[in-house]
Amino acid sequence: MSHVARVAVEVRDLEALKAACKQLGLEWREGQTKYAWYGVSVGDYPLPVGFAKEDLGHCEHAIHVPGAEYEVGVCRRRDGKPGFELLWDFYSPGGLTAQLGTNGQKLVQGYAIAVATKAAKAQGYTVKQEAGTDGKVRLVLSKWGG
Amino acid sequence: MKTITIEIDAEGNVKVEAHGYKGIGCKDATKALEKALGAVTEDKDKPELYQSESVITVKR
Repeated sequence: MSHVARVAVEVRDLEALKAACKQLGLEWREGQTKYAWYGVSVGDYPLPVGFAKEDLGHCEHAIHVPGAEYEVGVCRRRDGKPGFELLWDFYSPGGLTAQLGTNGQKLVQGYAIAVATKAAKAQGYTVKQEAGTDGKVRLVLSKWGG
Repeated sequence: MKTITIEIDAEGNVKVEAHGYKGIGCKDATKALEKALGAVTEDKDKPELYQSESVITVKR
């Protein structure tokens, strides 16, 4: 049998997130509890579940992005689920959209690659990474037997 | 040989595909990977292997 599943990425593995930062040339700042942003919520976008305006700017760890003034906050989720939210201000003068993409997708993609590679290797797969078209990355996992 | 491909597009969308597994083995094989990545939003068995198509959509 073969099957196809689509997965919405959720950040749960900080080691994989750190590995992604390294790969992308971003600076992981362990235990930095504030991240640089505009500083005032103008209320134009909804906040993640469980977060209040006052929570913005606070985090468990931060990611410094070379070439950008603003930073990414790594915050524990507050919707009762395990894992972390990546909070950041995409106001363009802050520089993050230019470095990470309009939705921070470069960081999300980097994390997904790191966490999938790690999980695959833990299960004994050989992992080959290939670059596809349109910025796609393909991981080919193979294993004899099993 | 059994293979699994994981495709991550530039938007961070992830597709996990399993090939060459017998029976429900492929679901067991990909489950841990899917769990490590996040929440499964869609899970489809490939229709050509069945007389009728079976589609499971999981929302969490």
